[in-house]
Amino acid sequence: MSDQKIRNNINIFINGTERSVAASEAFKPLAQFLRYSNQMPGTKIVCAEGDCGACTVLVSRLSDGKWSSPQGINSCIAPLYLFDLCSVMTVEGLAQDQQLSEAQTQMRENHGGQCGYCTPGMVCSLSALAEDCHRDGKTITEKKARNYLTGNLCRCTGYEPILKAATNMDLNKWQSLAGKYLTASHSEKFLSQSQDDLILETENLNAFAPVGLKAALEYKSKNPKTRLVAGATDLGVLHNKGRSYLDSVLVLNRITELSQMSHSEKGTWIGARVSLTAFENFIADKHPEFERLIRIFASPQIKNQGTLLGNVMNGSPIGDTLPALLALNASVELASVAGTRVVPLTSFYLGYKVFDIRPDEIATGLLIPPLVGNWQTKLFKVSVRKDLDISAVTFAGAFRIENGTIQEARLAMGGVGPTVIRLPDLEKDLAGKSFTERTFAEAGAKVTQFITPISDLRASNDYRNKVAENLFSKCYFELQEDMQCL
Amino acid sequence: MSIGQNIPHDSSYGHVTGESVFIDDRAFTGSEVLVLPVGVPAAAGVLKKINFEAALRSPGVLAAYTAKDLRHNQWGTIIPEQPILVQDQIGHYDEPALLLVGMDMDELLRARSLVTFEIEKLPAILNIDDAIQRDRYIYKANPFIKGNVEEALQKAPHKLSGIFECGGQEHFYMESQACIAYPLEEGQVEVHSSSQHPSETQHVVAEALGLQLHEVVCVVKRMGGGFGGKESQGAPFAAMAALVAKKLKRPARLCLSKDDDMVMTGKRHPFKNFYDVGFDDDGRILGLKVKLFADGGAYADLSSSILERALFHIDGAYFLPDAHIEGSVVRTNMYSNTAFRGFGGPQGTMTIESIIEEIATYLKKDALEIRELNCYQGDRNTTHYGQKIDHNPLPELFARLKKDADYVARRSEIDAFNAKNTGKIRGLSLTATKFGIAFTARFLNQGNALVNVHKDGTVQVSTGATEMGQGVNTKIQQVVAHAFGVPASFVKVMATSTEKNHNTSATAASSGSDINCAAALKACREIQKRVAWLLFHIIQGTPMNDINECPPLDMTKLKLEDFEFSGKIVSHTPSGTQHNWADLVKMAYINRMSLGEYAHFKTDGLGFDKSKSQGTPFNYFTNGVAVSEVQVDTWTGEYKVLRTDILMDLGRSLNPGIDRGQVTGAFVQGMGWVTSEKLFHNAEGRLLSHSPTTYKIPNVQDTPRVFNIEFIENHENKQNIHRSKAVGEPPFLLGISVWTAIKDAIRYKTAGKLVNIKSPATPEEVLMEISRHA
Repeated sequence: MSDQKIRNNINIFINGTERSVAASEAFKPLAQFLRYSNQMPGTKIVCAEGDCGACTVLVSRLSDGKWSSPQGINSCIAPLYLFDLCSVMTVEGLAQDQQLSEAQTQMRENHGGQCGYCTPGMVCSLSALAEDCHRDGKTITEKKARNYLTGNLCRCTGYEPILKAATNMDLNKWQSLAGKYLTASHSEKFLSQSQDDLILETENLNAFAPVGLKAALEYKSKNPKTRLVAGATDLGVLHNKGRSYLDSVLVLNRITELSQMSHSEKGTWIGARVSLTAFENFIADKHPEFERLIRIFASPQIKNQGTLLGNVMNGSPIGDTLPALLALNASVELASVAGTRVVPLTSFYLGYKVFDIRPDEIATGLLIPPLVGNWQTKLFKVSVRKDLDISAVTFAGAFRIENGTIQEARLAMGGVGPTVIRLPDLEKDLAGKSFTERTFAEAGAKVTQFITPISDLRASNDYRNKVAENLFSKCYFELQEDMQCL
Repeated sequence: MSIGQNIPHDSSYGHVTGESVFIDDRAFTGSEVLVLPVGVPAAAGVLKKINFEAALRSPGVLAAYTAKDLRHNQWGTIIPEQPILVQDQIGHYDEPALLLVGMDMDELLRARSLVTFEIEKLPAILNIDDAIQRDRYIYKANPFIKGNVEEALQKAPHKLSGIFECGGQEHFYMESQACIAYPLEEGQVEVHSSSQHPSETQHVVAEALGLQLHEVVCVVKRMGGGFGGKESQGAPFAAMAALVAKKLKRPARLCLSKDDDMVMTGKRHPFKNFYDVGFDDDGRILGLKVKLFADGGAYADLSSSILERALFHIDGAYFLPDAHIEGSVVRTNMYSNTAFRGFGGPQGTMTIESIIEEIATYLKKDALEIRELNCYQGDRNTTHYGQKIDHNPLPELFARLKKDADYVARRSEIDAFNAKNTGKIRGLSLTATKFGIAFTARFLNQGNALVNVHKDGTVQVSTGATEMGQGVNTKIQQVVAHAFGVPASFVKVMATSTEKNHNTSATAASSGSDINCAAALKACREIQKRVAWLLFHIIQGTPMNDINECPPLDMTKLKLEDFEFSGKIVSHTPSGTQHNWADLVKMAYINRMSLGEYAHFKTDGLGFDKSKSQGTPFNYFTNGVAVSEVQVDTWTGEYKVLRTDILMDLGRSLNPGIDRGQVTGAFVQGMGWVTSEKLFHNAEGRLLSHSPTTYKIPNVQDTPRVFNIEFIENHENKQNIHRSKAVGEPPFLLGISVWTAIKDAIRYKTAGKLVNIKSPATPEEVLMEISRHA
C-alpha cells in the first residue's frame, strides 16, 4: 500500500474545462452536480431513474491512455465519483461560438423540439449517433436512429420529427466531438493520475475506488457491509428513490482486472465491470440470439453504464439476461482474500434476492461455456412495451437437434417465481422427442406445474401462466423459421 | 409573408442548446428554500393528526406547514371544493397534507420518511361501478335528446348492446408541476409557474394567502409540456410555494419529482359507457342510446365540462338520426381527474368507433363500409345537439385516405395473411376525428393582447397564451410579423404575465392560437392604422416639424386597404409610394403617436342552450382521418404498428411544420393511451405505476414503422384567424385507430363473435381475449 498514491478529489473535464471536485460534491448524481453546482441547467432531470433520457450526457473514459468514443449515459442516476478522469460533454458544449452543430441544426429545422424539455437529452443522443457514424463512415438509417434514441422519451413530437432530424444530418458537416474535447492534450493532464486509488469521505459518506483488485478484496473483507458499485444503473435508482442509500461504497469501475473479455475453449469470459454495450458487441458473432435480446434489453444509456455482472448480481426474477445465462450453463466467479470459487448460476440463486455468496466475496466475472454441437436457441422477453420495459415473463430455450430429434434441451424462465429458474423436468421430458409443434405444445401445457407466478402491476398470474405455456409453441414456430433460413 | 411559412419554433435555438429556461433552471437566490409536499397514506378517511416533529428535528428541515397555515384552503375552477392541503376529509391516496421546507432535497426526502399520520380510515371508492352503487356523483349532465330513440331502436332490424370502457392516462409532461414564489414588498407575491392558466394561478394564490388579486403576479415563460395537466392543477402547488414564501419571506421553490407528480395530480378520466345501438341491414345507424359515466376522482375540478365534451363527441364523424345521450361524473377516492388533450372528446368518439367495429363484425362487413355509410354527408350534416357542419370535408377525407392508403388492396392482403397459421395476425382500421373548436363555456372564449413596437421597428407581443411546446408563440410571432410586413425575427413573444394580460382563459381547448393570434392581430391593426395615417400625411405633404405634427387619426379619411405592409416596407398602393417600416416607426414616435396597443378579442357566433342541449357550442370543427395497420403476436398478445396514414383538415395552416408536429405528437400520445399506458393501483387505491419504469408511454420504437401525414387544402374556414384551424387536440383522437385495428385483428380469431376488449389494449388484455375465443 505504501507506493500506492491516494487521491481525495475527483478530476473531470466538462465540455473541455478541467474541474477538480471535492468529496463533498462527489456523491451527488452527475446531473445534480451539473445543474445545481456547476450552473449548467441545460441537462434536465425528469424521472431520476434512468428511464427517460432527459439527463443524457456524453462521457468518454481514459483507457490505456486513450479516450474511448463518447457514449450517452443517464447522468441522473450516476454518482459523480464514477466519472473520475472522464470527459463529460453536455448540451451546453455542442455548439461552437453560437454556431449550432449539425445535430442541433437539424433538430431545430425539423421541429425536433416542441416543449424543449427532452431536447437536450435528445440532442446528446443524436450527437452520439453522428459521432459514431462520422467516425465509422456509416450512413444514418432510420433504424439506426431509432436504436440510438431508444432511451430518450419525448411526450410532444411523436418522435417523427426527431427521426427526420436524425436521418437528415449531413455527416460532412459534423465537427467531431473527439477532435474538440478528446485530444492528447486533454488526456495528458490525467495520465499521471490514472493509477491513483480514490478515497472520498465526508461526515456521513465514504467511497473507496481502488485501481487494483487486491485492494478491493482486502477492503471488502474488512468492510463486509459496504455496497459494491460498478455502473450504479440499479443502485443509483434505489438511492434516488430513497429505498437504499449509497452512503458507503466500494467502487469497482477503475479496476483493470475486471474489464477483461475473452473467448476460449472454456467459453466466454466477461469481467465484472464490462458494460452491457461492450458485452453486446463482443458476443454478436458467438450468440446472435443473445445479442438480439440485449438489443431490446435496455437503452443505450443504461447499457453504456450498466454491467452484465450487475444484472446477475441484482438477481431479480425478471433480470433480462438471466434465463439466457442459466440456459447457457453460465457460472459466476467469486473472489475474496481467501481465494476464488466458481458457482454455476443454476445453484447461485437460492431464493428471492438470496444468493450463494459470502459477505467478503466480490463477483469478479462470468464464464459462459460454448454450445458444442447443433444447438438452436430462442430467447423471449414479454413486456407491455417492446423496448425499454421491465419484463412480465422471460424465456430461454436451447435445443440440440439432430435428424429431427431433440437430443438435449435446456429451459429457463423468469418472472414466474421468486428467482429465475431452470425447468429440469421439462428438459428431461423433451430429450429424445421429435422436433414437432405437438412436442412443444405438450411441454407448454405442463409448464404451469413448475412455475409460481404472481400478480403485480406488470401482469396477472393468469397472463403469466398463459404466456409461459404459449412461449413453447412460439419457440417452435420461430425455431422452425430460423432452421428453414439456414 | 410570415404566415403559412414553416419557420422553426421561436425557442428552438434555446431548446437545442439547453439555454431555454424552465422553472427549475432559474438560478437560486441566496436565501431560497425548497418545498416538499407530503401525501397521506390512505385513500379515504379523516385525518386526525400529522406527526412531523421528528421530521422538523431532522437535519436541514427549516419549517413545516399544514392546512391550518392557509387563509383559504379551497380551490376549484368550476366548484371550489378541493383543499390545497388535506384539512380533515381525505380525498385520495397521496393527497398533499404537509409541506416540508429546507434547502437540500436529499435532506427533505430523508425527513419525509419520518412523518407519520393518524387517520381514521374509511372504505374507499376506487372505481365507477362502486361509485354508481353507492350513488356518489359530482355532476349529472342534461341529456342530449334527438328524435325518439326508443322508437328507433324498437323499429331497427338489428340491435346491439354493450359496454365500452377506457382507462385514464397520465399526462407525463416532461417537466413536472413546478413553481417558484418570490415574496415582494408590502406582502405582494410574484409566482413563476409552469402553468397553462396564469390568471387562475394568480387567483388561487391570492385567495389561499388572503391577498387581493392585484397583490399577486403570475408569470409563465414556458412549460415543459402541459397537455391539460397544468390547466387547473398547477395552481394549488403555486399556492403551496407562495404560502412558504410569505411565511418565511424567502423565495420558495416547489418542483415535484415525477413520482410525486404522478401520485398527487389528476389524469385523463376513465369512462364506462353503456350503449344500445339500432341499425339496418347495411349498417346504417338508426338510433343510439348511451349512458356515460366518467370517474371524476375526489373533486369536481373540470369534470363537468369534460363530461359534456364527451357527450358532444359521442357522434364521432357519424350522423345520428335519433339519439339519447346522457352522462354523469362519479365521485371516487382517486386523484382528481382533470383536463387532458381531447377533454372527454376521445372517450366519446372512441365509444362510437368501437360500436361501429361491432356493427361490422355482426353484419360480417368491413368496418370502413359502415363508417362511409354513416359519415356526415349531404343533408345528413346536423349533429345531435343541432349544430350544422359547414363546409363538411369528412366525405372527402374518407374517400381520399381510403385511396391514398390503398385500403382495399391491403384488406385483401391481410385476409390472406391471417388465413395462414403463423402465430401472427394483422388488423386494419380507419377512424376519424371531428373535433369541436371553442370552449363550451362561452365566457372563456375571450383573450387580450399587448403589442409594443419599439423605435427600431422591432416588436414585443404579450398575450394570455402560454407556450407549452405547441408553438402558439411562434404562430403569434408570425401573425404579428405578417401584419407589419417584417421578418419573424423582428417579433419577440414575451413571457406571459398577469400584469400585462389579465382575466385570461387557460391555454386550452386547442384555442390558444385562435384567440390570442386574433387578439394580437386586432392590436396590430390599430398600430397599422396609425402608421398608414402617418404615411398618408407624408404623401400629402402635411408639414411635420418642430411646429406641426401629424394630425390625429381620422378613420373617415383613411382607407387601410390601400396600404400594404411587406418586406419591411409600407406601401401606399394607389400612389406607389413606399416607405421603410423602421423609419416610419421612428417618425411616428417623433410625432407623438402611440406605438403600443392593447386589444380584446372574443369569438363570435357561439350560443348553446344547456337546458335544451341545443345550439352552436363550437366555432367550427377540425377534421381528420387515420388508418392504422397492426400485427399481433397471438402467443403473447404483443403487437406493433406497421403503418399509419393520416389525412388532416387544418384549414390554411399558419405554420405547416408546427402543425405537422402537433399531428404526429397527438397521434402517438393517443396511441399510447389506448395501448401501453396502463395505470395500476393497489387494493388501497394507491397508484403503483408512478414513474416511467412502470408507466409506459410510447418510445421511439413504438411509433408506426411507416408513418404518412398529409393535409387537405381547405380555404373555407373564414371564421378563424387567417382561415387556419386549431390543431392541438383533434389528432389525438386518431390514435384510436390503433386500438380499433387491434380489435379488428382479434376479430380474425373469434369465429364471428364480437371482440370484447377494454382500453388500453395491453398485451395481457389482447391475449386474454384471444384465449377466450380459442
